[in-house]
Parts: sequence; C-alpha cells; structure tokens
Amino acid sequence: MVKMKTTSVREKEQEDEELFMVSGLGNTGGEVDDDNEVEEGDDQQEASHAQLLSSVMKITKKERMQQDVRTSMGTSTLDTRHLLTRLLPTTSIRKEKSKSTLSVPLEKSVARRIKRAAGYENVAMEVNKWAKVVKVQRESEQLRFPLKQSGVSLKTVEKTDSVQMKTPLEKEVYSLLQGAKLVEDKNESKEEEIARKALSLDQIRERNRELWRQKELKRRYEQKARLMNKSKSRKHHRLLRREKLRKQKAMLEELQKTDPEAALECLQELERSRIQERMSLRHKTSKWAHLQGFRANRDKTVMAALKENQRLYQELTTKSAKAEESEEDDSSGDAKGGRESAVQGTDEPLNPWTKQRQSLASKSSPEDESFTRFKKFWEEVNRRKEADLEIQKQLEKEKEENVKIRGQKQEEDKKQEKEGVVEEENNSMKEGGEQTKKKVSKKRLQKLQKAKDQVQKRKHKKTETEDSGEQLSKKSPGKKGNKKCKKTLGTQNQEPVNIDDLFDEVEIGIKNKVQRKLKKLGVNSKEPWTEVKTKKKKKKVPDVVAPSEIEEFDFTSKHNQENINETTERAKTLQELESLEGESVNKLQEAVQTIKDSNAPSNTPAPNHNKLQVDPNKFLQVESKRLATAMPDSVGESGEALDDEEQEESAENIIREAFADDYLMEEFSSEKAEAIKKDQPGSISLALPGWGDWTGPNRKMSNRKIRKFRLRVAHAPRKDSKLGHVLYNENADVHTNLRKAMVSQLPYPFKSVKDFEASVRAPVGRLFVPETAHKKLTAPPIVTRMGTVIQPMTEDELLCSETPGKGWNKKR
Amino acid sequence: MAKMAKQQQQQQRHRQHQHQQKHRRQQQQQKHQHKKNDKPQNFVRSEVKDGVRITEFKVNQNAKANRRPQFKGRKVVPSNLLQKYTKGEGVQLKAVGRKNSYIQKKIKMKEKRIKYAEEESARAEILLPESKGQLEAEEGTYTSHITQTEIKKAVDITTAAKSFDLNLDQFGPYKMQFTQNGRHLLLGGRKGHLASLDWITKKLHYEINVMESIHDVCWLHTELMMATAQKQWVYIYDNQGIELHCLKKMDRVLKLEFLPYHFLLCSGSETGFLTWLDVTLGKEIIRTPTHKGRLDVMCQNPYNAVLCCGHPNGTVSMWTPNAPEPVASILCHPHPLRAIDVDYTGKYMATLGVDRQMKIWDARNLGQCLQDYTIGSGASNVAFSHKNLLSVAIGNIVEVYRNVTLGGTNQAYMRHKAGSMITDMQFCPYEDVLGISTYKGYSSLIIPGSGEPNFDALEANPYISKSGRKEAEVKALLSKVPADLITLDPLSIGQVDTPTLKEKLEAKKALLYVRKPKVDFTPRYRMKGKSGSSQKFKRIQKVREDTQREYLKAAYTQRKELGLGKKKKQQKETKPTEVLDRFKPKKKVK
Repeated sequence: MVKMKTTSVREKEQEDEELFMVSGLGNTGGEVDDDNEVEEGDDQQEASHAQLLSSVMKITKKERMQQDVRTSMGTSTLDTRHLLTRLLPTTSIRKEKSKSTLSVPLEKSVARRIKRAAGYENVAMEVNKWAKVVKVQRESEQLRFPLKQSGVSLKTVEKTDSVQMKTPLEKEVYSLLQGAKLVEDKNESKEEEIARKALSLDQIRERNRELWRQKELKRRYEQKARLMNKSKSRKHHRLLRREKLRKQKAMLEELQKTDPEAALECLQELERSRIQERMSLRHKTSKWAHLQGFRANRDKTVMAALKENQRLYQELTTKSAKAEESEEDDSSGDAKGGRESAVQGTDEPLNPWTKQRQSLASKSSPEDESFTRFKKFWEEVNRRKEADLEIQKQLEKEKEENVKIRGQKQEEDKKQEKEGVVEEENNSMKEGGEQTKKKVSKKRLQKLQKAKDQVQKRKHKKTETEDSGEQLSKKSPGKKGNKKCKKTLGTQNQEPVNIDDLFDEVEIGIKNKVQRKLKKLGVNSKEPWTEVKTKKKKKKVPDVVAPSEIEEFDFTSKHNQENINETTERAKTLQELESLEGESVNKLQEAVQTIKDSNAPSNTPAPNHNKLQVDPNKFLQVESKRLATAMPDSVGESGEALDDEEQEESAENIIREAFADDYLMEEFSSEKAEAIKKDQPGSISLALPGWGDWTGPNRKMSNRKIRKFRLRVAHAPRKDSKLGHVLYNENADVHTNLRKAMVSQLPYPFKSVKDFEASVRAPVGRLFVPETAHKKLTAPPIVTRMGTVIQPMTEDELLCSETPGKGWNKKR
Repeated sequence: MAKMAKQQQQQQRHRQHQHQQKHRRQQQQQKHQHKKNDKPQNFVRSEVKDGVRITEFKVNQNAKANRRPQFKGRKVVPSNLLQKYTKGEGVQLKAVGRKNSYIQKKIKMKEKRIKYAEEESARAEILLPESKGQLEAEEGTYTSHITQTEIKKAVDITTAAKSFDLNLDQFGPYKMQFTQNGRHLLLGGRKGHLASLDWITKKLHYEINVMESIHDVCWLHTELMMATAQKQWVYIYDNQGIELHCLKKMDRVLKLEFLPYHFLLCSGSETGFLTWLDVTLGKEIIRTPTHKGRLDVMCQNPYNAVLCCGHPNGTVSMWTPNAPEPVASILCHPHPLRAIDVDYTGKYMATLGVDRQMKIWDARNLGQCLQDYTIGSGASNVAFSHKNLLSVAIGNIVEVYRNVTLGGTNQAYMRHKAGSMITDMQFCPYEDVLGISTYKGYSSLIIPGSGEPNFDALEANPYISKSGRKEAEVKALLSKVPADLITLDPLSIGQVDTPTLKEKLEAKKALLYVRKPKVDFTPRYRMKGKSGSSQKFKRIQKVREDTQREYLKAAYTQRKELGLGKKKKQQKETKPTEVLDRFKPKKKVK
C-alpha cells in the first residue's frame, strides 16, 4: 500500500511539472523538444535498469521489502514504469517506444530570433502604454513630487469622533447637560444605516461568484490563445491567413466609406509592398530559395516551402485583374481621365467606350466590386498627384517667366484667361443641354491630343466639372440627360448611390488637398475650389509674395542670414565632434568648423569699401539752428555787437579761421585708414616651397607663384564703411571677455540664432518685471517636498484622468 | 545694463507698496462706515431666542434674475501701454521642434508667461501717479524771463527752500556732484575746500580743506564715501571727512566718474590715461593711454556704462575697460570739444565745441547727428536732466532748453545769471532742481519739470533710512555687474557668439599647414621579454604612427571638404553613348 501511494504522488508531481512547462514557456518549443528526447533516452535506460532490478528481486523477497521502504523515503530512482511492467502486458510499453519521429527542433539562432521578436513586442507594449503619461509630464510646467498628493480634506462636524469623556468631572458635567436636554445624542440617520449595511452576505457571495466567473473566462480565453499559438497545422494557418485577408478587405472597404484618406494609405501600402517585391524579387531570387533548390530533390518539405515561396511571389507581384486593368488605363495615356469623363458626362448608348465599360462592369463579380472601387481610388490618387505636380510645374514655370519677361507673361495670362472663359462657357453650355455637351466632349477629345501637361491640367478640371454635373443631377432629377447619366453610372458599377458617395468623398479629399496647397501658397479664399478652376487666379499666385516664402527669407533677425546658416552647420559639426575622439582631432575639427562657417559669407560678394573717404560735409550737413542765447557778462561787449547778422557771420568766420582745423579731418581719416588696414586679415596662399623652383634657407618663393596660388577671400563689410566720421572697432566692442560669456553653440531645440535670441529676449529678474510675473517666470520645473519618499510611478498613474501639472496651475 | 528699465520697474514696485497701504486704509474706513449704518434695507425682523439673535432678511426673488455679471474680468490694458512694455516678437514655433512636440508646447507656455509679464508691467503703470510740472508763461511773455526770486515767491515753502545760494568766495572755482538719489551734495573747491551736505535739510556732514588742489569730486555708491581728484592722487574720504584711501594708481586726475552698477571708479588724467578701478576689491581693472592729450572732458553713458571722452582733436571716443583702444571714435566737431553729456536713457549725446556749436547725437546709432545748434558764445558745460531738459552754461549764464533732441524750439525755457563763471552743474535726480557751482560758490535753481517725479525706492530712494541704505548696499554688491560685460550694446549678452571672418581665416590657415602632433607614449612594462629595448621601441613607434596617421587623415579629409586641397579638373558631362552613335560623322581633328 505504501508503495502505491508514493508512486501516485510522484506521478502527480510529474504532471504538475509538465503543466508548468506548458504554461510557462510557450515560446521555447525547441528546447522543450530537446529535453523530451533526452528524457526518452533516460526512460529507456531506466526501463532496462528496472528490468534488471526486477529480475534481481525475484531471487529474494526480503530485499524487495527493504527496497520498498527506501522508495518511500524518495531516495531510489524507481519509476512507475517499473510497476506497469507488472500490471500491463509488455506490448503496451513497446507501443510507447515505437512513436513517430519528432519534428526537427528549430535551429538555435532561429529560435532565439523568434524569442527575441516576441520579447520585443511584449516589452514595446509594456513601455508604450506609458507614452501618454510621459508626454504629459514632460509638457507640464511644474512637477510636484510626490506626484500623488494626499488631498487636503476638512473634517466636518459629522465626521469627527464623538467626544470621549475621560475624567469623572467631564462625565458628570455631561450627564448634567444631558439631563437638561441641552445636548442630544446624535442618532444615526437611515441613509447612514443603509450605507453601513449595504453589503449583505448574499451580495458578497454574488460578487465573489462574479469575480470567479470573470477569472474563469479569462483563463479559458488564455488557454485557447495558447493552444492557437501552438498549432502547427498548415491548414489552420492557411485559414487564419485567409481570415486575416478577408478582415483586411472588410476594413479597407469600411475605411473607404468612413475615411477615404486612410483607405488610400492602406492601398498605397499594398501597392508599395508589391513594388518592393517587384524591385527586390525577394521571393524569387533569394539566397535561401537558391540553396533550398539543391535540397528540394531530397526533401519534400523543402519542395513545399519553395512552392509556397513561389506562390507568395506571384501573389505579391501580380495585381488583381481589375488593378491590372487600371494600370493599363494608366499606361494607355493620360487621356484616360478624359475618356471616363466623356463616359459619364455624355449619354451616348452607342459609344464604344461606354459599351466596353458596361461589359467590363457586368463581367466583374460581386467579390471584385471592392477592387473596382479601389481602382477608382487609385485613379483619383494618380490624378491628384498629377494635378499637384502640374500645379507645381506651372508655378515654377511662371516664376521663371516672371523673372524673364513680365510683358510676355501678361500676354500669356490674358490668353489663359480667355481659355478659362471659354471653358467656363463650355461648362455652362453643358449644363444647358445635351447637344452642347456632345460638342464639349468632342472638343475635349481634340484637346486631349494636345501637349501633355495642358491636357492633364484640363483633365483635372474636367473631373471637377463632372462632379459639379453630378451634384446638379442630384438637384434636378427632371433633366433628361442627367437621368441618363445616372443610368450609365448604374450600369457601370451596379451601386450608383455608393459610387456617388465615393465621388463625393473623393471630391472632398481633393478639395482639402487643394485647399492645403493653396494655403501653403498664401492664397486665402473662402472657396479655393473655384479658384483652381480658373487659371487666371492661379496665375496670380506667384505674383503675390507668399508668406511661406517670406518665412524662408526672413531678414528681421539681428544677425544676417549668413549667420543663421552658419549656426545650423555648426550644430551639425557639434555632432560630428562628439562622434569623433581624440584631442588632436578635436582641435582640427574646431578649425574646420570655423572655416565651414566662413563659407557662407565668402559666397556673398562684399561691397566695395576700399575707397574710404572722410566726408566732413556729411556730418556738417545738419542745418544748424541758432539758439537765442543770452550773452555772459565777460563777453558782453562782443555780444552786443553780434546783433547784426552780417557781422555775426563774419565773427563766425573769424573764429573758424582762428581754429583752422582742417588738418583734424585729415588726421582722422588717416587714423581710420590705418585701423582698417590693421583689421584686415592676411591673405592665404596655397603655394608650397620647392615645387616648381628651388628652395632652401634664405630663399624666398617668387611672388608670382604666391600670387598664383593665393586664395581669394571676401572681406566682411565694415559697419562704419558708410560713415566717414565714425571709426568703429568691433574687436574692442565685442571683446573676448564678453564673447566668453556669450553663448557660442546654439542650444538644442533651436535651429536658428533668431529663435534662440527670441527665447531669451525677456528679462525674468525681480528688478525688471513685477513680482508676480517674476515668480511665474522663475518657477522651478521640479518641486520635491522635504522629508517625503518619492515612489516610482505605479500603473495606477495610467488610470489617472487628471494631469499632474494642471492641478498646480489651477491653484495659482 | 538697461538702467532705465530697472528704474522704472522699481518705481512701480514702490508705488505698488504704497498703493497697498492706501487700500488697507480705505478698507478700514469702510468698516467704520458699516458700523454706522446699523440697519440694512432688506431687514424684516430680529429677535433673541435662547440668547441667540436671529435676524430675518427679505429675499428679493427678482434679484437673481436681473443680476448682470458685475465682474467681467480684469481691466483691459490699453494697447499703447502694452506696446511700451512689449518685449518684441517671440520664437517662431514652426522652426523649433516637431509639430505638437513637448518642446513646442514648452516654448508656447513660456511665450504665454512673457506675455503675462508684459501685461503685468503695463498694469503697474497705474502705480506711477505723479506727473512732471512745467512753467507756462502768459501771452506776450517768456518763461525764460521768470526769475528764481519770482518762482520762490510763488511756490510752497519746502520747494522754495530748495532754491538757495552758497557764497564761497575763498576757495573757488568749485566742482559739485549729487548722490544718485539726489539727497546729498558734494562740493570741492580748487583751493582745497571739500564739503558734503544734505542739501535738502542743509545739514553739513563735514567740511575740510585737503591742503591740495581739488580737480574733481565724485560720490561712490553711497553717501558714505566720496572720491576726490587732488593734485597728485585720488583720495577717498568718508562722510566725516576722514581719508580712507589714497589711490596712487590714479595720478594727476582731471575727471572722475563712478559706474554704480559695476562699482568702477573711472578717471581721466592730465597725461591722457584712462583708469578703471574696482572699488569693491581696490583692484585696477585696466589703465590705458588714449594718446589724445588732457582728458578733462568726460562723461559716462548710463545705459551701457561706456565712457565717452571728448578730445582736443574734435573726436569723441568711447571706451570700455576691456580693450586698450576705443570702441568707437566719432569726429563730432572739427574743433576741440568743451563739454559732453549723455542723457539718462542713453539715447542722446550732446557735445559742445569750441566752434560755438552744440550738437545732439544719436548715442546708439553711432555717427548720426540729430540736431545742430549755434550758440552765441562759447559754452563751457552741458547737462541733461531726467526728463531730457538740457542746460547749457555759457560764461556766467545758465540756460535750460526743452525738446532739444527733437529740435522743437530755439528759445530758452529758463535762464539764470550767476554771479561768476559757472564751472560745473548737474540736475538733481528726482528733484526739479539744477545745481550750479561757480568760481564763487554754489547755487541751486528751481527748474520745473526737470526731475523724474516717480522714484523707485529700491533703485534710488531720497528718503532712505539708515537700515534701508545698508540693505541696499548689500543688494547692490550682490548684483554687481562684472566689468567684462561692458559693451556698446548691453543686450549683446543675450546673443549668440559667431566667429569673425578673421578667426575663420586663421583656422583655415591652420588647416593648411598641419603639423603632425608629437606623441609622448610610455608603454607599460610587460613580461616575457616584451619590454626589451627593441620591442619597446617598436611598440612606441607603432602607437605614434597610428595616432599621427589618423590625425593627418582627418586633416586631409577636412581640407578636401573645404576645397582647400588640389582641385580636380571637372570632366565635362558627356551624353551617354548609344549604339547608333558610331554611325554619326566623326569630329574632324584639326
């Protein structure tokens, strides 16, 4: 009996272990397999060993008993199989032995890779959920730690504890007061009672049951998921894949209804994958496939894998029938849009194109409907791109034209205006009646044969006109032509309403895009749609200086544009600096850095400042006014004489002559010239001694050679170059001591000097701004309360609705 | 730096304090009033129940419905005031950080705070209640004809007491200076008479004779210390006339200036030397020759603490203690200069030449002459007041002009005839008083509208107490601006330093002739015969070569990047040859 018990216990333990293995390490399948193999080997050994033991045991019974005791202590390696040999026939054991071969364990590197990928995903998920919290904290003006501040609560009268009488005197007084009924015991109200007794036993049970149910559901779900992950069935996976595809399709369809932009993106993604495949031929000419080709003869699985690979390649590269068709349309020329418009705009039942379309539409199975829509989208995308490109091209062209000949441009404008007028007329005519429409379509066909760019542009417009036409048709269903137009649409796509919606969406999308474009160009209008229609207005765009361009060429900064450029470059070099190591290299880099900066100004031609002349008249030009001053006593006599103007002037002249100080000006000008000369940097010559002539001690290079290799350096314009009577010494003004205190490298988030200077433009000190403002401006970004432990954030923070920074602001 | 801005703000703060006190008083008054009105109007009845008075009030049902929002937020600040305090355009958000990034948000918030500060500053303007006065003449008369005696008769006693004469005919000609808060006066006679007094109460602090010629006098940061330029050296006295220091680093000084925010005492000497001395350390910052003769015409620009010197060659040179040469020199008159002064905001500079011309210059935009006046005869002194009145001393006459910077009038605003030649003058800060010192004494004149009416108690308080002064001294010392920051544009500290062209060229040159660095490498000891002399040498050689090669490589690549290396001839871009090109006729080779 004892023996049996022990074995049962062991079995249980083993089971537990196995369970643990399964639940704990799902993704280490390969290793587990390995372990199993090893165990099997062990099992065999053990079995033989057990047999040997049993044979030995047959000899003596006493020993056997002893051994039983030992097993109960758990020291022996006896197994259940040993017992089974007794109970069961030997065949069952053999059956166990003759199992089918195990699947080949994954390669170590592959297994590791899979493990890593899975791990990465998990970690990424875990980390990403903090993103919002982190962002909020980074953005907050001030963080107060500890983040969870216990709310300050007032203790109301109800919540205070009842007064505890301690001393006998108190009790006595209380009893006296109670006798006088001045103090009443507070009775518990009903609500309070209910609240207190809210959770009865039943309720608690109910709750527990609910909790358990939840847990159980969760467990089941997890188990299912685990099993799903483990499944190696190819069929299952295929099904899965199909399901996934179907879902994607459904999603795409829905997206295209709700959010055409997103749908377009999805489609683009698909297209991109196709392009990638076509470019790389990953599934056709991969190294792996090449190598597997050798093994394919021997191994069936490899063959299958290769086939699968081939299938994938085809799947990726070939478009669906409809998509191909659209491609064909694209390739057939830019006329496609026009053709389509013709289809929709006109109502000729005998039109071969419409016929073709109809037939195609009828051919298409309901499954492919979505694809037709996708195709529509694609067309729209292409058209939009083309239109945008066209607009850009046009703008560029116009710019050039602007620069070249203004007159010509105007003429062109006029022409295009005319064209625009004609087109508008056409539109109106089209709306008017059928016949005119036919004409228009013919006209269009003619136009389609014109130059590419123009055609594309018009096509763009035509789509618009179509749209407008459709809208009109909706409004006025009584019109014949429009009805027919609708019919054609219906035959074409079986779901006319849907298509209408689709077009509306597309229209809106295009509208938005165009609006954005126009905004960028600086055209502010209520209805940009109309503006795009007429070429005239578009033409005007470059004439008006767009704000975006202004931003680019902003000269408002204290420093000039060169400096701004320099700083960006400098930031770059800083990074380079960091990446490189070594002191000596650093020095070099510094030099390079400064030189790089110099490149910008050297490009700009410096104004001529060599001929500097002090023009004394320049500062004497200000008309001198005569102040009606009184005469001091000491010069009283001469003052009286000054009343007469002529005499005054003569007196002035006398004084001027007495101090004939023309030489002062000459002196000053020579001083200035000297200073300028001194300030000019020396020239650089790349000439090397010994190349082209002899060299040695006391031998100078020839001047010709030096001149030949001299680098031309542009001189920076002096600030006082235009002021003859001013000598400004920039080196003395912006001296080295000051420059040490200045910021030499642009700090991180800023990309231009102007922006950085703007950020530090306002003083924050007490002496410059009012106290309240000073406090607000100099509030510390992080405040920690003294004597409190700052705990790391818990996941409860994720549930917090209120941001940590906001509370503080409200208080202030 | 930006002294005026500081002053204004501090004035506001002072007023704010006063305002609060007033407010409190009003509140107290209101309380009293409330007690008098014992019965409110909507009162119904009142009775005492169990020792507690219970009062019933009428409740006006309509009141709630009819009530309009009484408080519509803070008063809107007028736009012109906002314009006055604006700090300029902010950071362009588009250029910084990604869209909606936290950096952008932070910058946005900072801009908001700056906007708030601007608004608060504009709001504080309400705390500057005083306005300047002025003289207005009847029709047909001139303000300049109004004499000091007439003014004295017209004004109140305290103001009248501010106009007085000191008859000091023994030790003349006198030099004078007011303290920064305008409370104390320092007088120094050429023949050694030195006196300091509280000129408002007329209390004499001390009076001594230094038994040497005195050329100039100057207050230091408080009224406790003053510097005098005597025959040989500069001396520092305390407010009891006790000699504290003899500064032998400043010899034969003609003119003294004190920079209050930098604690620098500056002097211009007879020999043409300029000296800056840090009075907190007693250390000479720099001593530099100007090579332009006597330096008896000198003033400071209060906006940027730059010294402006007038020279006999007609130039005004501007000096900082950071360079041995002038920052700028302007040829103002083609004649020697007599006097020079810069206004309190540092916008205008007035120069007087021997050529009987007075010119007003833009002190920030160098070399721009705004106004040119001709004066009847040679003027000897010029001084700006807080409110930009300009006084000119001509012999024994002093004339005050209004709107000189804008060229408004050519008539004097006020005129005064002193007993003898005027040697020095200064407008008293925060008072409508002009002090003039002559050969035979000192007289203070009342010039209405000359002084700043609103003073900032934390900046310069005429009524400062002893403890307040002590505290202010400590604060001023703590916020002492280093001499290194003196430059023409005091805001340049907030700018980014970019290398000058010269530096760039020098760096380029350095790259041209790169010398490989010397490598001093001592290999560590290794066992098994690897530290034998030959092995060691090899190891050293290897390290040396490696580092040098690396260095040179870097240099060459950088040189190439900059286009300093050999230029390769650029090949002309030829069209890609096509197969059928071979059938084209070949070009004939000449």
